[in-house]
Order: sequence, then structure tokens, then C-alpha cells
Amino acid sequence: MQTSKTLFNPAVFAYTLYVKFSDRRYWLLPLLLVIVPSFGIVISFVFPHAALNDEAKKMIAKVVHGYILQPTVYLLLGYIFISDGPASGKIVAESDTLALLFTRPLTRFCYVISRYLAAVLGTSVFMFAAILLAYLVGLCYGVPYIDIGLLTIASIILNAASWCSLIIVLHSAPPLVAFLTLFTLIGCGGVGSIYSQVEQSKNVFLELLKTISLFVDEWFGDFLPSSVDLVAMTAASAFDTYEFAIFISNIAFFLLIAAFALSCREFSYGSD
Amino acid sequence: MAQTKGKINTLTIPVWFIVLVCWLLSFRVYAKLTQATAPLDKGVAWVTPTQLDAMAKKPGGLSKELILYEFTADWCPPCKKRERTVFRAPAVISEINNNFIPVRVDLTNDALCNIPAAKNLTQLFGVNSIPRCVITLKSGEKVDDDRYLFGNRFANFITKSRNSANTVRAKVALAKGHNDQALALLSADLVKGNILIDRDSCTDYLMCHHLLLVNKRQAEAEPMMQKAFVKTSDYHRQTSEKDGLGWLRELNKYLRDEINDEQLLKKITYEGDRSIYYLAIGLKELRLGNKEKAIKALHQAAVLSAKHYDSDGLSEPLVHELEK
Amino acid sequence: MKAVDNACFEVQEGEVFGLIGPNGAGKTTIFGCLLALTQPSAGTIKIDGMSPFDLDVKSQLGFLPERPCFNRWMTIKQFLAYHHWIAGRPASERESEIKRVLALVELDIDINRRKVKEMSRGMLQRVGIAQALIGHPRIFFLDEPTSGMDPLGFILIRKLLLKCKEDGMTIVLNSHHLNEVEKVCDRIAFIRKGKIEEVANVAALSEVRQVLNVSWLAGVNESTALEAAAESTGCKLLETTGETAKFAVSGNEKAADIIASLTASGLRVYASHFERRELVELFLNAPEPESGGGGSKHAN
Repeated sequence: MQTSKTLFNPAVFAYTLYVKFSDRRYWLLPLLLVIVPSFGIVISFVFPHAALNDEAKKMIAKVVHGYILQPTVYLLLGYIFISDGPASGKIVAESDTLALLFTRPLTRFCYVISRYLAAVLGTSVFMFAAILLAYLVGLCYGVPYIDIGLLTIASIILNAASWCSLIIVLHSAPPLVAFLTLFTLIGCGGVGSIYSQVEQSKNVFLELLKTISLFVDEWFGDFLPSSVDLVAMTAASAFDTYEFAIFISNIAFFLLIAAFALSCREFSYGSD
Repeated sequence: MAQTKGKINTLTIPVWFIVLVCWLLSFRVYAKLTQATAPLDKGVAWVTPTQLDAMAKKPGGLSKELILYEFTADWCPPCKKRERTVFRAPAVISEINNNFIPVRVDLTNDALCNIPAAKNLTQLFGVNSIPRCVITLKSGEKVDDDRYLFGNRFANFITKSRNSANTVRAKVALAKGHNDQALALLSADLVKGNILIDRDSCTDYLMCHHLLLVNKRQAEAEPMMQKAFVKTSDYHRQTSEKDGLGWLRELNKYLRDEINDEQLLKKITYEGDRSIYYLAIGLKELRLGNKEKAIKALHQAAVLSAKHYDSDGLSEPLVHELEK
Repeated sequence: MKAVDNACFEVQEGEVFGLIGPNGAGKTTIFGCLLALTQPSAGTIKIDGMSPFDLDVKSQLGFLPERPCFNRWMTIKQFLAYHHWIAGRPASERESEIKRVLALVELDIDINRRKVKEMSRGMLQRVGIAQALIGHPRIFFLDEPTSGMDPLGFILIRKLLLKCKEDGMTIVLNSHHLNEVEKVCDRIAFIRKGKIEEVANVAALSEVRQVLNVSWLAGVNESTALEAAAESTGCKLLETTGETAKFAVSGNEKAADIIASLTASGLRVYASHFERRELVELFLNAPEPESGGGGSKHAN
């Protein structure tokens, strides 16, 4: 009883997931994102370049499937769920409402987890709705190739889990810390890819810089969320256990950072 | 309530969660450390460039028809990913082990880069970024290469290059003047015209057309041309490339003798087409027996293709063979 | 930078305790510490014998923030229901509880329709109080309860706080409206520049704060007469302006003594009356505080 109380708060969950949708403005962006793939299908059939053969239809299905890997879509949806409102115009944190919230019997960890779970569920539902709608629209036009199997659903949930973990960190940490974290992570990811050249330089300084960059990239370069496509992962090539371990540990690590950042945060609810 | 009074701090993160995250992170470090030194004895039967050299010196030492070179290094994350994923997939492993001699060219440090065999290969294939996979015939002619393929696409790449190896052999035979053999090596689809023609595969098409005429199979040449053009133009219409076929249309007119050399060269809109046109002219002159003119045109094509692409794979060896 | 240094006080159960001080005195920071929103760098805080960070403490708290920064798009009902739910109260009593607290703050609006963003400042303040009262808190923190409220609101809050006190709630409030504080608090702490200068009993203060104003006709040497009167009765002479003087007195007896003494000295007293000194005056006259040891705060 005590553990469940500190792990999950239904009120925060419900608020994040559906209560805020009583404000109609919240509906606009998610609905747009839901109809994007179907809209794409309709467009390609209404204005065809040529008679669409089977090959072209498979191509369309492939493009639609690619939608479940789009970080932007997840980030937008995750932001809608986790933020307290697009109307407030604040991207990162809403410290004023949080201050009042934390005078209630609610542990900070519980807040992070509840909010995160709700966001993952919400994002997945919208994403799945988008794919399902695309599938139905596709059927009307005779494109039966869009995959809505279990692996696709699992991929959607995992990707939502991955990208929402980034949003929850941005939401929980103080704005400056949040952006510095993001900046560092992106920097670490990018720093090694500069050096995929084979050539060796004679300049000692450049070589040192290269060594450092490659080290940073080797150990910290993969600390950014990513998308997985289980359909492709389990298809012809070997299932990359290592890649998957990185994926899962990134999520857990980000949740820990979020909870830690929120616990360290001090709220001043007013300037005296 | 009484027992738990004052037990739960609102700031505490549960210990089990911290332990879980630490476990996941340490597992990841463990995986990373073990992966770098993981033995490669299972899976693809790699050989080193030096071993390959030794094998090539023995008569009959090269047991397979094709060689697959994988250029890689320890410091290259995508290369590591490829080793973890594509080269561990059972389908890919059996495909490679059955049909290729897999050569792993390790460029991790200066010492490895400067091994003569490895250095030759890097220069020969102009490898300036990795991961890179190059597939050649065992006689050394390049079939295909890739830069950054993973998963399914890499598997498809291997299969595709195995299938296109015969086209490369045909080119070699053509350059040597074994026209019958060359035509036999070309795929049935190509000969029947069941192909999509883009700028890359255009030399195959030209070669096939040329060989049919040389072997007095004129009756087959015209339908092939028709079919290939229709199929390609269909494809281009789908992909909305409306004027992407101008070069092919002009080329077909030329092969039908509707326009002459000068008229063809006047139609150039894209500079890259020039080498293809010269190749067509060279092949036509060759068929007509004008060796001098053929060499001149093919030479032009070779120079131009080297300028725009790596090589068209045909004009250079032909010039070489004719000059002999 | 230190916002609060050396704040030591104790609040008894069922007491109304006021923190008063000018803007920037550190009242809000003390509140932040009490509500576990800020971690004090030194000292201990115990609420009901527990740390303010404890979950069990939180479930007994009600808090009215100074600025009502609520989720603007929520309807009032959603807002109250949300807080009722977070507090972990049973869903079955949610409706009745919302009705109860709205009746308490005398807010008579369509709670299903009206949204937070459509409310005026004073109404928001009432919604805030309703939010804080939801789920019968045992300890009630109010930060500037009267800010943005009309005179009716002042009366409402006074009434409300007295009712809460009757119900046995412990109330800690924070204000710079000294008059208001005086009317409801049992004890008050003066805060200035982050230090608690004095913790005083309001009832005792009202004794100290009686002032006798005496006027007389000009004539004899007043100053000696005044000093003599002050000396003999033990009451402090506060000020003299022309033919009037002010004495700090405690009780009618002393006042009578002073008048008698003055008359005996030959002063022709023609008028005298009691006047009340404002709390703020006491506050201003207090000496500058000396620095002291670590802070410790207790409630209950």
C-alpha cells in the first residue's frame, strides 16, 4: 500500500492523460498529427503521378510505417501531455503550479513516474490511432501493406517511452539545467561522427582532440533517446541485444535524472 | 498509519529504482567492454588482407568466385554496429560464407593501415570513409560497393551484387572480345529488356544492345530497346521525374539510326550524359568496324566518366583491349 | 545569499500564529521551508514531530499560495477535484467536499462552467482558500490571505479563520496587513531582515498598547509634573507635544493614578482619553535585532 502510494498517483496520471483535454485547444495538435499519414495517402491517390502499381503501394506503406519512428512527432505529442499547457507558453517547466502541487502528499518520484506513464500511454494511443487511421484509409484505396501488428504496437510504445523520457527530464529539471543536459547529450552524440575519416593527421593537437572526441562519443555518444523499429529489428538481420540494452537503460537513466532533478529543485512560489 | 509515521520522505527516490538504473548502466558498460574484444571465430569467416595475398599466390587458392572487403576500425561506432548486427545475422553469415571470401580490412591505427596489402586496398578502392564494403570478382574487377547500409538493406546489397557479378564478368569478356561468352553471361532479364534503366545501369543496357547486334541477333535488339524504354518511362512517371528520360529517348533514337553522332551530341542537356553518349558512339563505331573512331569515342567516354563518376566500368577496359 | 537567518519559533496545536514583517523580510522563505519547498541550510523543522518533507505531514496540510498560479484553463470544479484527488481522499466524498469548501468561502458561481482564467483576483483568492481547505487539513498555511480582496473578503477571511480555529485547526499566516493579523492571531512573530525580532502574545500586546492622552491648560512647569507622575505610577512617558502628553498605561487604575498625580502637581487637566497604538507603531519602535544562534521551528 505504502509503496504503491509513493510510486503512482492516479490524480496526476489522469490529469496528464485526459483531464487537460477538456480544454479544446489541446486537441488541435494531436489530431493534426493523427491525420498526417492518412492525409499523405489520400493526397498520393487524389493526385497520382501515374497509375499506382503494387510496388508504389508498398512504397507508400513503407513511408507510413516510417511515421512511427519520427522523433518530432513523439516529441510534440510528449510535450503536449507532459507540459501544463501550450497556452502558458512555457516550454520547460511550470514551477508555479508545481510548487502548489508539492504541498500535497505526493513524492517527487511518484510525480515523475505518474506523469511519465500517462504521457507514454497517451502518446502511444495517438500514434496508434494515426497508424490505424492510415491503415483504414489505405484499405479504402487498396493498400493492405501497412503493418499494424503487435510488433508495430510494441515499437510505438517503446519509442513513446524513449522520447517521453527526454521530455520528462526537460520538464522536471530547472530550465537552465534541462537545456544544458540536452545540449551536452547532443554534443556528445555528434562529436565522434566528425571523425569517420580514415586519414591520420600529423598534427599532435588534432590527434589528441580526435582521441578525446572518439572517447566521449564511445562512452557517452549513445545517451540520447532513439527510435527502434522492432519490425525491422526482428526481420532479416540479427536482433541487436546491445542496441536494445542501450535503448532501455537510456529510458531508465533519464527517469532517474528527472526524479533526481525534481528532488533537488527548490520552489519559490512567490517573490516576497 | 502509526507504524509508518514519518517514514516516507517526499524527496526520496526508491532504492530499488536506483539499483535498477545502476544495473542497467553497468550491464551496458559490460556489454561495451566485452564487445570490443569479442572473438570473431563464430559467424563470418574473415581473413586478413595479408592472408588473402597468400591465398591468391597459390594456384586454386581462391576457393570462391567473389571477394567481400569490409573496411572497418575500432574507433568507428557505425562499423561496430555493423559488426554487432548485420554480420551476426544467420542469413547474412551463410550467404557470405558460401559465396564470398570475406576480407576484413582493419584500419584502427597507423600500423594496421600501413600493412602493404591493406594500404593497396584502401588506395585501389579509394576508401576515404568507413564503414565501407566492396565486392569484387576474384580477378579483381569491382562489382559494387556500399557506404552505410544496415539490417535488411545490407543483406539485399550482398544478394544483389552476387547477381550482378555476371554483368561484370560480361564486361570483362566483352573487353577481351569474347562476344558470345559476354552475351551468355548477361542476365536473361537484361537481354529481354525487362529492366529499369537509370544512368548507372545504362552501360549494361548499351553493352547488351551492342552485343545483340554484333552477334547478328538484330531481331531481338529492337524489342529489347522498346520494352526497356517503356518500363523505364513508366517508372519515371511514377516517381514524378517528368523530363528525366530525355537522355534515354535520344539514346534510343541514335541506336535506331534515326539521328547521327553530331545530332546526338547536340541534345546534351546534362553534362553527365556526355560520357554515356560517347560510349554509345564508341560501341556503334566498334560494331561498324571503325576501330580508330571507336577508340577515340571510348577514350572520350572514359575521360568524361572518370570526371563525373568513378568510372562507367566499360569504356576504360574496352579502350585498353582495342589499343592492344 | 541568506534570506532568513535565525528564525526560531514554536506553534501550539490549535493556535493562530501570524508572521508579520515588511516586504522582503523573509516570510515567504520561512513558508517555503515549512512547506518543504525549500531546504533550509541549517536548523531543524518539526511538524507534529516529523520533518516537513514527510508524506504524512503533507496529507494534513492546506496551503494558500500568495500568487494564485493555478492551471488557467481548468474549471473551478476540476481544479478542486484535482486537488482533492491528489490529496488521496476517497472519491465518494469528492462532490460533497467541494460543496462544503465552496460554501465556506461563500463562492456562489457555476463551478462547472467558470474557468480559473475567467476569475478576478479576489475570486481566485477564494478559490485558493477553498483548495487549501479541501480534505479537512489539520494545519493551514496562508500566505497573504487578504491580498487582492475587497473589504467583504477581509471580513470573510476573518470569519473563516475564526471558524477554523474553533474546529481545532492550527493556522499559520503571513501578512503585512497588520490590522488583519491582529484581529485573528493568538500570537505573532515580527520578522525583519530575515530575523525573528519578537514573538508576542496578541492579548498581552493589547495591554501594553493602551495609551493615555492627557491635555491641560498652559500654566505651571509641566515637565517636572509629567516626570513625577510617570515615576510615581511606573508608566512610561511616551511623548509631549505642547499641552498634551502620552503615557503608556496598562489598565484603568494606572490611568486614574496618573491623572491624580498630574492634578496634584498643579496641572489643570481638562481632557484625557485612551487611544490605541497601532501594531505597526510597535513594530517600528522595536530596536534593531541582534544576531543570534541557529533557527528552529516547531509546530504543534
